[in-house]
Amino acid sequence: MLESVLFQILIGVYRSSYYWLIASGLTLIFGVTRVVNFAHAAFFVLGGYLAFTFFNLTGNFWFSLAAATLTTGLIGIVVERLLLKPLYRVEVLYQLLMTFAISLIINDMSKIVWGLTAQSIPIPSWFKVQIPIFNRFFPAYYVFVIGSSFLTFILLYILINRTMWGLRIRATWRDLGMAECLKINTQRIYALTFLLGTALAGLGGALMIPVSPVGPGLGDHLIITAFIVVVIAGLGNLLGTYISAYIVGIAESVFILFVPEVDILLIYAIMALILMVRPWGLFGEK
Amino acid sequence: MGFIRGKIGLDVLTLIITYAALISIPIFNDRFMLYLASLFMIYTLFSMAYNIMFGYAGLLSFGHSLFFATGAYGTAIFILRVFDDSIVGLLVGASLATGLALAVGLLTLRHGKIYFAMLTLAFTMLFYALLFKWRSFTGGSDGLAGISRRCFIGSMLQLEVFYYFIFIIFLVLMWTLYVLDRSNLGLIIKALGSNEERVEFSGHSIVRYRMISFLISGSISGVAGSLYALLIRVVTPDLAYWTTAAEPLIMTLLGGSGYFLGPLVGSLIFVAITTAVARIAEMWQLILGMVLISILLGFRGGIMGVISKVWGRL
Amino acid sequence: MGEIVRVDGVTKKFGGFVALNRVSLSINEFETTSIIGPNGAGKTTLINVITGKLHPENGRIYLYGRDITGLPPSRRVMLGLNRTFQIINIFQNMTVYENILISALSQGKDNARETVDNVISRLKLSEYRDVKAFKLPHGLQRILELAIALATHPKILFLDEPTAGLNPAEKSSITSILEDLGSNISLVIVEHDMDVVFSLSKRVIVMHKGEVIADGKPQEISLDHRVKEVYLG
Repeated sequence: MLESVLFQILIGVYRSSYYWLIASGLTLIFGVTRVVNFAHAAFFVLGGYLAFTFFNLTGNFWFSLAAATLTTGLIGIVVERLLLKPLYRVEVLYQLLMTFAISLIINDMSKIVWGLTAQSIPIPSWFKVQIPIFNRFFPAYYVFVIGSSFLTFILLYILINRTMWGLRIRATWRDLGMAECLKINTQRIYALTFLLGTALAGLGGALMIPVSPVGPGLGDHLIITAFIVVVIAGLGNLLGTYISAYIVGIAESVFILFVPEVDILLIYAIMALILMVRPWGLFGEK
Repeated sequence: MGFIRGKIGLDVLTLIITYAALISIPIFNDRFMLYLASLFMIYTLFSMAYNIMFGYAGLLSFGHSLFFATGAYGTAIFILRVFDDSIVGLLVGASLATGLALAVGLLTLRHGKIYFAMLTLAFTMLFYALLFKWRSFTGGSDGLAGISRRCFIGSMLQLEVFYYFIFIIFLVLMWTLYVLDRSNLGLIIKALGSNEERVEFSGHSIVRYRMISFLISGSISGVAGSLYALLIRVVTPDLAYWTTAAEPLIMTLLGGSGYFLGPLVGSLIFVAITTAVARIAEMWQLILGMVLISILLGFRGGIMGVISKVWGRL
Repeated sequence: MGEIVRVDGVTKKFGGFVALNRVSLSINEFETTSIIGPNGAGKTTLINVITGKLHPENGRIYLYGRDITGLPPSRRVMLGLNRTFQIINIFQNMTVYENILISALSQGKDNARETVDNVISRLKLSEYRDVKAFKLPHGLQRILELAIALATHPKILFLDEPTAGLNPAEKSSITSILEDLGSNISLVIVEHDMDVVFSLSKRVIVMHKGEVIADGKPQEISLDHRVKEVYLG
C-alpha cells in the first residue's frame, strides 16, 4: 500500500514538471507585463506540435526539442509585438481578451496544420529504460523530464536573480514607472519576458509529446491547471510557483488514488478556497 | 468601460423591429430558421444578462456558464425526475440559478476585480467537475437526454409551437431589461462601471449594487440555460465549462458592451458566423479569433460603436 | 459650536513610510478650517483616512461623537460626511444631471429629482444640465464635483485642493460658492492657495511630515515662525 502511494507521488512529481513549465511563464509574463496570458497553454500545445514537425524533418530528438522551444518563443514574441503592444495603453482587460483571441486562433491553426488527431513522437532509445522502484517501473524518460524541469528552474532563478537582464526584469516587475525613469527599455523587457515565458511553455509541450500525444483541446484543460498553480502560489515568487506546481501535481495524483470520484472537484475547491481566504496565494505578497 | 449610450428612440425602434422580425419567422416554414432564431433569442438573453455585469457594472466574469448550466440542469432534472412541465421546470431552473448567484455573490463580490474574475472561473469549473463526476444524479459525461416539452396547454414538442414560448419569454425579458436600463437602478449600476470610487462617495454601497447586478445577471442567464435545455432537449457538463462563459463575452464585445442592444447585435453576428462557417468548414474559432482581434485593435466599441460613429458623420 | 469630527491618535503607514504620525485634532461645526502644509505632509492622507478611503493602523475617527473608524465610505456619506477629490473624480461619460442624480438617489428616491434641481440652480449649472461631463471645462468639472457632494446633504465637507488648476475667474467663482456654503455646512479645505485660505478660513491647521505643527487663527499662523521655516527652510 505504502509503495502505491509513494509511486503515485513520484508520478505526481513527474506531472508537476509540466505544470511548472507552464506556470513559470504565466506568472513571469503577468508579473512583468500585467497581462493574464490566456493563450499560454496554447503555446504549450504548440511546442508539442512543433517538436513533432521538427522530428519528422530531422529524426533528431534533441534538435527537435531545442528548435520547438526556440520557435515557440519566437512566435510568442511576434504575437506580443504585433497584437499586444498596441493595447498596452488601453485597459488591462483588452489585453486579456486579446490573449483569449490568440488562443482561439492558435487552436484552430493547429487543427489546420497538424490535423484533428493527436500527434506523437517516439521516445529516444536511451530513455526507453524502465527503472524499478516501489515495486513498479518508473520510465527513465520521466526522470529526464523531472530533471529538465528542475534545470529550467535553476537557470531561470539564476537569470532573474543574478544577471543584469534579471535585474531589469525585476525592476519592471516592481514598478514600471520607476523602471522607465531608470532608462530601462521596458518595451524590450516586455518582449524578452514573452520570449522567455512562451519558450518555457513550448519546452513543456515538446517534452511531453513523446509520452503523451498532443491534440486539440489539450490547451483548454491545461490553462485551468496553470491558473490554479499560479493562484495557489501567488505572484512575485519563482520558488513559490515551483513549489506550488509540485503541490498541485502531487495532490492531484494522490487524490486520483484515494478519491477518484472527487479528485478534480477537490482541486477546484482548493483554488476557490485560496482565492477567498488568501487571494495573494501561499507565497505572494499582500 | 461601463457607459451605455443609446437614444431612447433608437433602442425602442430596434427592439420593435426585432420583435416583428422574430414573430414573422414561422411564416417561412423553415425548421432550421426557427432553430437559429431560437438560438439567437437564447444567446441574446444570455449576453444581455452578461453585459449587466460586464458593460454596466464593469466586472469581468468567467463564471456565467455556472448559471447557464444551473438553469439547464435544474430544468432538465426537474422535468425528467420530478414533474414533467416546462413552465414549472423553467421556473425551477431560474430559481436555482438565482439562489446560486446569491451564494456565489456573497462569497466573491467583496474582492477586487481580478480575483473576482478568477473566482468565477474556479466556481464554474467546480460545478463542471460536479456535473461530470456525479453520474448518478447528473448523468456524468453523457449528461441527460430526452427532455420533453410538456406544459398545461399540451406538448410543445413541435418546434413551431415551442418557438412562441421562447418568443414570449424573450419579449418580456428584453422589455424588462430595457426598463432597467432607463431606471434609477440602471443608472447606479452603470455608475459602478464608470467610477466605483465615486459611487461609494455618493452614498451607495458598492458590494450591495454589485450583488443586485449579479442576481439579475445570474437569474436571466439561468432562464437562458433553461430555454436552451428545452430547445436542445439534452444537457451535458460542457455547458458549465469556462469556454461556455466566454461566448456571451465575445458576443457582447462584438456588438459593443457600451450599448444597450450591443449584446443583441453581437449575438446575431455570432450565430451568423458560427452557422455560416460551420457549413463551410469547422473553422469558427479561427474566424472568431480574427474578428475579435480586429475589434480589439480597432473597434473597441463593437459593431454598435462603428454604427454610431458612422451615424454621427451622416 | 460643538465638535463635529474628532481624529484621535491616527497613524497611517505605507510600507515603511509613516504618512500620519499619531495625529489628533478636532473640527468644530461651522468653523471653516483650512489644512495647509508642504507636499507630502499628509494632508490628503488625513482626508482619506477621515473619509474612509484608507484604513489607519492606529487611532479612531469620530463623527458627532460616534466612532466611524470601521465604516465604509458609503456609510460615512449617509451619516453626513462627504468630500471632493484632488484629481477630478466624476462620471465622465454621464451628463451633469445624471452625475448629481446618482448622489441624490442615496438620500431617497422620492426627493432625488428635487434635490438635483436645487443643487443645479444653486451652483448655476442649469445651462449644462444635459451636457456630458467630459465636455465641460476644468473649472465647471470642479463645480460639478462639488454638486455631487452637496446632493448627499452633507453636514461636513472635506475639499481636497478645490481650486487646483483653475484660472483666477474660476477660482473666485468657487471661492464665493464656498463662502456661501460655509454658513450651513462645516467645511474643511486642503489648499495651497493662501489667498483662498485667508479669505475663507476661521482656523488654519498646518501639517508637516505627518504631524500637526501649528493650529490657530489665520493671522497667528501667518506669523508663526515654525510655519515659515517649514515653507521656506
